[in-house]
Amino acid sequence: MTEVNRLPLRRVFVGIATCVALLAGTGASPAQEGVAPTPVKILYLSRADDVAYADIQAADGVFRPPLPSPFAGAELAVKDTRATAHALGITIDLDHTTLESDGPIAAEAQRIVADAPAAVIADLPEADMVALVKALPASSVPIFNIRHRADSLRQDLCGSAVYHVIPSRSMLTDALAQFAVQKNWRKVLVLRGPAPDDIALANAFETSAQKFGARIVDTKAFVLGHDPRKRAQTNITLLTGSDDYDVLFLADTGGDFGRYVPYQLARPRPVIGTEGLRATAWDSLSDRFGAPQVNHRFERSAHRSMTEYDWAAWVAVRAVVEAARHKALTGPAVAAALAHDAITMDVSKGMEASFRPWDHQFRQSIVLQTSDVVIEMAPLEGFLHRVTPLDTLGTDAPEFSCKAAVR
Amino acid sequence: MYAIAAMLGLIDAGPAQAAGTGLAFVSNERSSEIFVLDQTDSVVSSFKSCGRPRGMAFTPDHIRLIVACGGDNTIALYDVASHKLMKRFRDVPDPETFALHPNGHDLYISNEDDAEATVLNIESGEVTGHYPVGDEPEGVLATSDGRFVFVTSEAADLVQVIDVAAKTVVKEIITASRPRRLAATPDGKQVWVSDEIAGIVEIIDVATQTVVGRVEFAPPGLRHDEITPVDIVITRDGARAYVALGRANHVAVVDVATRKATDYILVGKRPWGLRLNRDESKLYVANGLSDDIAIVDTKSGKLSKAVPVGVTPYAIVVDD
Repeated sequence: MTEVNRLPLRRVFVGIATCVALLAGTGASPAQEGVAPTPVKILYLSRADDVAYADIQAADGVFRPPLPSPFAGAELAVKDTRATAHALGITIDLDHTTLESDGPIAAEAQRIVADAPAAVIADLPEADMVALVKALPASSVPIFNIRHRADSLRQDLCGSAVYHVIPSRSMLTDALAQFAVQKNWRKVLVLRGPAPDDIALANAFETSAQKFGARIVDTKAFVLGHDPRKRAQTNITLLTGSDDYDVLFLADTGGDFGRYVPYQLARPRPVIGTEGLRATAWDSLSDRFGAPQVNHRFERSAHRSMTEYDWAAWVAVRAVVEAARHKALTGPAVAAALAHDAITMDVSKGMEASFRPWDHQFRQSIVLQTSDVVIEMAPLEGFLHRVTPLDTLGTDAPEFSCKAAVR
Repeated sequence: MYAIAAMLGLIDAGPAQAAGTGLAFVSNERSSEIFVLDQTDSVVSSFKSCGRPRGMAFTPDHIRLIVACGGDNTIALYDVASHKLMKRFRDVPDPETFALHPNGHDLYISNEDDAEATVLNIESGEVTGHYPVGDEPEGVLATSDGRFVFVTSEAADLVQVIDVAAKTVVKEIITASRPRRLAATPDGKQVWVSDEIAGIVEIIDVATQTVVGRVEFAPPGLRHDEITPVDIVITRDGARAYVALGRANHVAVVDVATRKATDYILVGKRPWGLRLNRDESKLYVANGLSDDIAIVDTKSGKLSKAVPVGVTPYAIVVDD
């Protein structure tokens, strides 16, 4: 063993126990009788003191629950796939390793090489994930990105064994732009906060608007504060009272001011983006395509609602099982198999999903939701594509060229 | 999770006279109603049922209508003539569909939320078996010789085969994405399974319990991902199959021998449930997203009528 800093108490194994329980329940499966199932190892890697899960700083004194660990989604997938795994003669062994807050990635990469898991689910900060990819031998093991949305990351890591389950930012803004255009809300006012993510989101939406034929009437930058001298930037009513628009696109990824916007804007117009109608990978209130069943199972096992990150971890495990159906059981085999169009999956969103061969982005429907209901699933009717309407969302093959140095 | 069924609410409405009336019963999952259509395809009555009724079947004597109600974890038996609730088995977790074994009393039920198939004796009210299956079990089929029960698991891409005498799962058959419903050919040699997300029907050879073929669909002007097959019915002569294509809004007509789709009939929005009447002159189609039943004249292969029913019609059974 290399000198890896780990928190052994936070290491959890699931999988074997559930499989034994199933065998006991069914009696026997003649297909595998007498043959020990092949273990397929999945490493779920997280980082202690990850800011993504830190307590939310309550500047206004209101408590907001921090983001829960998506590991529960991976655990549910192990349970959900046990019957399939049994039929395939495999067991899924899910290993949760939490790196210490200052634990080196290189050491972990060595441990991964030694352990040779079939896949790694990276619940890591973006820099850690990129470092891990660079530290591992090329195509030795698939690494599932369940968190990071930046399109630039898809570009920078192209050609590597990273598979992005969480939708890219452009997939989300494309979904919202389709909605606005389908409603004929073609004049859009963009209101954005100062954070880099706010600016990236606003830029992504501008590209999406252009792609689908909406027009940005203006882009306004919001500044948090009460300074009367800056009221043209701090006052939402003033910011939104200019030229007319059909809909307001809001980019406030930190949730600093966006909550107020729907009722502080000057005109009676709908809000989309980070408030009002939002685009996500998954919602616990989806009522179609088998989603309620997935959500019920998740709520029963995790005692909370399923987030889109839980869902992404759930998909990652299912993708490994899907690869096993195609006889891929080792890291290199799974990494190679996932890039093939033949590996298609049902992910309870109504359309057959798969990884795009060009950028390894998971090709999937996008949920358009408010705080308490799913309004639509994109791609929306009428947005056509020569291969699959799913590829109207995000970066399509002709727009993508892989020139990154990362293997 | 162990389900215990209890008999409750016994009401005696006297002998029923409904057998062979030609009435069609339609379960509506969102409005919890059962609609009744007569032979002229008009709605003649409707009644409130248990919550979220989905799968339905008649008892062999056609005196009772068995309804699976996922909303309140119930299997309910209604009198076919009076529509009165005759028996209710509670605590059957989230039943979606079921198959009545040829012995006439064992109901094999898929418990959608529990990854289980349970066996309920509808005469004694006893639950006599539990089979852990894959997640989101849906379609259940008992072979006509009573030897096997097939169960699909939507989320596990699996068809499991229960040996009835041995009381065990004897085979797990991996399918394409999201297997939903099952239908047997009249000779009992094949079981067809619809794979909703893969957009195909796979054919299982009953003797070897393996997938031996598939049926693909290409309705004109529609894309692969708009083809989401669900219910399947096969004619008594074993020549033709009808497959409801869900999002494609069509029903496919399939030549069973060649496994080729020969026609596509536009029926309504998101057809799932199918049923033929006894002389097979009419095909009833439940359109879940247009809240109507399409009646297809099977001779001409054309829609003859669309009848508005409750909200989200699911299954149809015909009392003839």
